[in-house]
Amino acid sequence: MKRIHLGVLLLLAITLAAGCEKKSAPNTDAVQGPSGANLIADKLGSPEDLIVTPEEIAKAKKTLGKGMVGVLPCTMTTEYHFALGNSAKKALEGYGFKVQLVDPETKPERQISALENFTAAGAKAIVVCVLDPKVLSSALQEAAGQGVYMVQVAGRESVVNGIGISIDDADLGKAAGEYASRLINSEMAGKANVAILDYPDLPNCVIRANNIEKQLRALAPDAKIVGRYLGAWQENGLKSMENALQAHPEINVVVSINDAGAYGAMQALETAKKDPDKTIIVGIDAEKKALELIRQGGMYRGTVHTKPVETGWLAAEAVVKLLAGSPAPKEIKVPVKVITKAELQ
Amino acid sequence: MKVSKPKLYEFLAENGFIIIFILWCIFLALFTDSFLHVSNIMVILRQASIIGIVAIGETMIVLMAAGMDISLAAILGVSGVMVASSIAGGFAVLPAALAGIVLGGMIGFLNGALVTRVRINGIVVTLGMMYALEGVAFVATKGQTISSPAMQALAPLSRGYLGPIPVPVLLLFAAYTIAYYVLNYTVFGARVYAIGNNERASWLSGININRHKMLGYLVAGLLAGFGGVMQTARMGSATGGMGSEFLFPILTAAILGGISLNGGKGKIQNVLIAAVFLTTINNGLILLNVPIYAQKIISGVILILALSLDRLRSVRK
Repeated sequence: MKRIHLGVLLLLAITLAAGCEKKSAPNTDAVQGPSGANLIADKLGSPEDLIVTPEEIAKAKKTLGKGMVGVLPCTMTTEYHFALGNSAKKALEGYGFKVQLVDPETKPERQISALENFTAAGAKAIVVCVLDPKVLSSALQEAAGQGVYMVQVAGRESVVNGIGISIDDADLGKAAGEYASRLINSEMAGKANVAILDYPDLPNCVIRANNIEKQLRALAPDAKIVGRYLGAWQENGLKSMENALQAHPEINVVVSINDAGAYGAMQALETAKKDPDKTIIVGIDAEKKALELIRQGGMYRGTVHTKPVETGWLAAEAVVKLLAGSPAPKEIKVPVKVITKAELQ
Repeated sequence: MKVSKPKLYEFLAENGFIIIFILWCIFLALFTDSFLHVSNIMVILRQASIIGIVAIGETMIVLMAAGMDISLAAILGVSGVMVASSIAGGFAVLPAALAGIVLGGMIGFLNGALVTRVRINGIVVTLGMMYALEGVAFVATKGQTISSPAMQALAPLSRGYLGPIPVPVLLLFAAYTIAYYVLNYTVFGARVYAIGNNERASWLSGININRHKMLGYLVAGLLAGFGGVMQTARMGSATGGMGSEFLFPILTAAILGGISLNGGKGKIQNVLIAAVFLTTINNGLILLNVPIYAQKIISGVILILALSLDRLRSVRK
């Protein structure tokens, strides 16, 4: 019986290993699939490169025939991925395509099964947020080998037989760090005690945190970074900041790799009776709640927009380009934008 | 006076993780400035409150050798979502909170019924229930964070104070006082241990095994539902995944607290100490300014040490 218990615990450990996955690390071993999409590899494209015409939509529909398009996000359990998956699905359905969406719940092995199932069900294109390029590499190449086009909405560099569309995590971290530095310099005379909320389980989150730190050190050199703490979820952010404030009650700036962790930090700072006018929080993701907090004024001063809905639309447009055989850049970079109170008014 | 080897061995085995806990606390007291501050101790206890309260239900189930309830964290999540959705939908706070607790109880009761009446293994039932409830929570929230200004009315449950003591800390100690009394001084408590020790003998002596196990699952569900209300109050919002963070701490608190997976053995007060210990590990590592990347390694080493000492007891026996 004990063995059964231990086995279940082990299973649970593996199950829980996933976290706030949004974008996976690039895989430089990407292999071009054999179906030969009309791709421009030597240019990093912009969203404008994917604007589709009615002729392209009609051609894509003809190519799709009775086939379908699969949508495979990283998860549907975070606001970002939910918005991305749904917007891609709706946009594709809007083109009159048959669409099937599967939620892999941040488990790469479920993505492998879904890729196999989509291919077996006659998918001609799959919009996929690759959780782990190394794990999925074979499955992606196998699907590509059967002529399925891929539109990859994370880790665009590793795209196989299709188009990669994504925001750079480095850009997100850089934007958050730059904005926080600007506020520190203009409102705190460059002196602040900064806590960074990180999430070491996921490389993309670490890239964000590294770039936040890099920008702060470069642009607000007199600010002291007191530490990097566990964030990504509200509970983590709350616990980390409650504990950090015991050791460093002087913390007055928090820059977080996402909004969810920042909400928790904000609660801890409020409980510690920090003056909202002398405290700064900057997050990433532009969740609805974050936008509301920024609009209200107070310590939540900004968030970096990750544009999930727009990325979903772009993915749908990329599917059209691929099915229509139109030329399109192999990689599309989605620009980031900092949202502040001024932006929202 | 010379302490004989077997006696030292026995002492270590009997006190297991508590010794490691005390050593850890002494270390933190010596090497950090703020560990022993009242405000820090209250932070630790407040962080341990939800884990501790829900772990009482887990302990009762494990004590009866009725399996292990893996769904408690998911019950916590779905109850929290129900409370938040109800309040955001215009319901008054008290009925919404009660609805969350009752929902937890109903799910616990269903778990109990499946285990005792349909005779499905407890781990299998609750594993399935966990997945189903996580799905329900995400369908209900549509992947969004549910929050509303009206939820501020719940805040005293997590951020309120009675005198100098935070409300969740009082609730934690109240829950453990009741659980201690029930398990040690009532017929029901004696039967819980008896069933875990020897189910057949208990049945032969006239104890209604199924009824007790059902009650155990029901209480565990109610406590998880209450945990959901507390967590919603703590967060001021609810998300579909809010329960997932609690699965391991709840199970670990019961196991680290020395509750035998074979049932019938273990002290409820040790589960409380284990819940506080778990929280203290994280708190201490932050106070020590341990880099985030090293924190997991050290947490793991401390837990392994604590569990290893505790296992000396079973090896010796």
